[in-house]
Amino acid sequence: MVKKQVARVWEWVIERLIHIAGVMGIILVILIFYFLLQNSLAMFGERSLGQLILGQRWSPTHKEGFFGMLPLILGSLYVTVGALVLSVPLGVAAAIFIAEIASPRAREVLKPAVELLAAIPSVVFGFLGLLLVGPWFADRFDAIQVGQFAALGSLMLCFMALPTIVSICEDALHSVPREIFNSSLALGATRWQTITRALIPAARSGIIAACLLGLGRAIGETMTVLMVTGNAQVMPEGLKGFIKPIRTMTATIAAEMGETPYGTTHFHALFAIGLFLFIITFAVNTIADIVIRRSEKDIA
Amino acid sequence: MNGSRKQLIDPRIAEKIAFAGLWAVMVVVAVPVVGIIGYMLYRGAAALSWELVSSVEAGLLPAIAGTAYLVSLTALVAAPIGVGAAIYLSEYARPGPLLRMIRLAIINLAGVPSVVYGLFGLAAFVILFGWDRCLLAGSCTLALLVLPLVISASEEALRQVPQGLREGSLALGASKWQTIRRVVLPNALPGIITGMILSIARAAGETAPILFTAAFYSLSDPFPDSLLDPVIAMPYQLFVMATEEPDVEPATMWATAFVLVALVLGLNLVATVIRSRLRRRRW
Amino acid sequence: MKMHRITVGLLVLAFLTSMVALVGCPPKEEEPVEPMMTEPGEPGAGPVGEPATIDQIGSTTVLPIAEKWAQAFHEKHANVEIDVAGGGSGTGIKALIDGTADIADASRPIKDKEKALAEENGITPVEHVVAYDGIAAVVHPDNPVGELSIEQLSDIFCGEVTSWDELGVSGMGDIIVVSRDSASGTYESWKDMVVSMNGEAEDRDYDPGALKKGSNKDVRSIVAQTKGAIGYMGLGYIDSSVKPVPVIPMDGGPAVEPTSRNVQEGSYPVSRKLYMYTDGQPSGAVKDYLEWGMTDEGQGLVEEAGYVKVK
Repeated sequence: MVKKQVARVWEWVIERLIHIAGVMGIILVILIFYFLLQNSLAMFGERSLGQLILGQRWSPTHKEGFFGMLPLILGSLYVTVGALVLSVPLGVAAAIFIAEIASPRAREVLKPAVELLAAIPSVVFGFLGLLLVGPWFADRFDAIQVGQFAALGSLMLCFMALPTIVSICEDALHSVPREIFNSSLALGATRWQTITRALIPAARSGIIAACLLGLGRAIGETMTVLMVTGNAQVMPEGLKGFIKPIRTMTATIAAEMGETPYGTTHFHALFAIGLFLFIITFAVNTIADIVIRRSEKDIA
Repeated sequence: MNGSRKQLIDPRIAEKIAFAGLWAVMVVVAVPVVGIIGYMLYRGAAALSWELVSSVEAGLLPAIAGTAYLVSLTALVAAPIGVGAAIYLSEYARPGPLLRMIRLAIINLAGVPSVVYGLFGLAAFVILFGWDRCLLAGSCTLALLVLPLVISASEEALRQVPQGLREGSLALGASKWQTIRRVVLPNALPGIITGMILSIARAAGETAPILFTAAFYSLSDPFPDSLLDPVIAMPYQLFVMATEEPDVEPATMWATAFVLVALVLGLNLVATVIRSRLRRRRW
Repeated sequence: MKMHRITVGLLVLAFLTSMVALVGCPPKEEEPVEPMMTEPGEPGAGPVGEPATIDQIGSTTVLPIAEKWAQAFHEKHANVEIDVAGGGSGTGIKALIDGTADIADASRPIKDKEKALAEENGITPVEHVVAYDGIAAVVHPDNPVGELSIEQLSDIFCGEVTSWDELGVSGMGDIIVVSRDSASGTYESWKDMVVSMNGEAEDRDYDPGALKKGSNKDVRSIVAQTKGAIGYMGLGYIDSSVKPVPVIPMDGGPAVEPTSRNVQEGSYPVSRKLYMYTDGQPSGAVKDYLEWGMTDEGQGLVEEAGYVKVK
């Protein structure tokens, strides 16, 4: 009897713990947001939001302290846009290849192979860019004066965003009902026509979501851009900005937080950047999730 | 519109061109994985030796040991929470707004930049809890980072356990928890372990989250004495070698990069193989 | 509440583990002292004392000295463990203020702000000059530039002058300015002594477009591979991959080569002291260590690391 009661209490405790673990995700998102906000609040007291986000100068150790994030935001934008321009066409094409052209056997090898690319640590990409790819570009092109520039970051990030894009795109293409494919072929269209006119439109939302998730991955990448983009906090100018050194938001946090004394304005400013990044990635991921859900509904 | 396009190029030729293009893209995407590893091996071959991985003074032993400490502790922290959450999602949760919110939260956690996890770890573990930069703070930060991975892998594993097994157990008079504990979990275990291996691989390669929560570069006392001591980790060692430490032989750097990639990819490969075996298993 | 309990739990766990670790490894066996090896009377080399650990953190410029010292000192005194780490002058002083380091290495004097912060924490930083260092402007080896004045360097580093042609150097194109990042003492020193010309141009600051690199080594490799680049670094880091440029002092006169001798004689205009800071006057192992550093042997290692002796 007693043993049974103990077991029942034990079971009750375990089930409570499981429930807590279940909502842990929500708790964590709130905690992360809270800690970022709490540590950057002091910043909003000293500078207006406009000064922070639109300020064109980031010189935190200057005796007046300039905390304009615009050069960093633009730096992140340049690197990310560049990465997407490279990785979206490549990624979508590779996904089409894996889903529709490769034999089932090849598919079983190729998809994990691309996903393995995602496992290579970002510091390794940074290392390759710093020692190998950057100097290679600087040696060959006169316009590139120094082997650390925005587009180099984009190129390295492209390979890091690819697995996300390929994997999710391929899932989306794969989940398009076969009837669509077969009926298109039956009507006399070639496979390529079927892919471009029937398959891609049907999987459109999934492809968009894949690109959004790739965007989220690229904008949050830290070590690679810290090592290969030169970290010059300038306002990038036009297209030329792509072959000049820039500095991203993530690299700024990584480069400066280590030696910033706790509780200073500079410290709070770095947390403000973190908060800004968190909000951006949260928005991007939520939109991607909504799009994916819609696509699942479309197909069903 | 379709008609006019058709007249320009024969669709069959267009298809050939397009497929050739796709082949080319596939090569561009697939070559780096093999190329990177091969090139690292080529450049690092001169320095790659047993001594490199086993020596304290001139080698990577402290960094390898540090990474081992970090990831084991990470797994220890992440496993109960992650598997618990997965059990909740697969066995207890009912569809509704709460479940929707949990899913959204997990997706977002997976998308939070790793450097932001680092900031959170700094604010929470290092400063608020007063742990300072240490093994424990770094592991807890990494545990949060890999949590979404653990949850989704474990949930998938749990869901693959056939419903019939659960019903059979319940019909024999077992309680819900007994069913989970004795029937569902053992059957899902290989899948959960796969997820843990992937999480460990992810944690082993991360630099940004430990940058201000655990990492430390010291030549003379490289091993942590307790959970509250800072550690060196493989990716951090590579970062320091590439950017800070004076006069490192290039071959040593390439060999270090190779060891790191081999470690991480090796773990992934193991997990992938287990996973594909599991998917083929018939109930 | 829950969070709090988890914290306490983890702390207890951590404590237990560290106790186990402490009990687990017996104190290091003291190596028998051979009287031949130690000269009696030399302050730092007395009989083996209590086991001690010295935590030393800070400037990457001072790092080569600290590494050599720590290694040599530990060989003489096996009971003293010295943990040396880099990170930048700011990092080191911060660690001293937070009480996590015994010695802070710095390539610039402590700032008033830091001093005030330290006093708030009940820490009294005491300064020890351990070596001199010159900071040299370096360019790509193919750059024909023969000399630069402090004013010209200041113009370059604050972005007033952007092309080598403006300096009468042809064929080198645009100037690529390579700077350290803000943690470095070298960054501060170069800013004070060159960019703001020792206070003559107070409001001048680095060109935001300058590349920011985390270490002397990073600066060296980027200058070595970039045609139009100019950077700066401690004398100890100069090698054949870059070309140091002689500097004309503010008050005119001939250009001075950045060499150890010129730094020691005080003729090279961009030179500085390197410091180690302790909390209060050092005692025990820290005192022995710092005193030993000032002996001929310690100062010999300073030269070996590429810096300039104090005496």
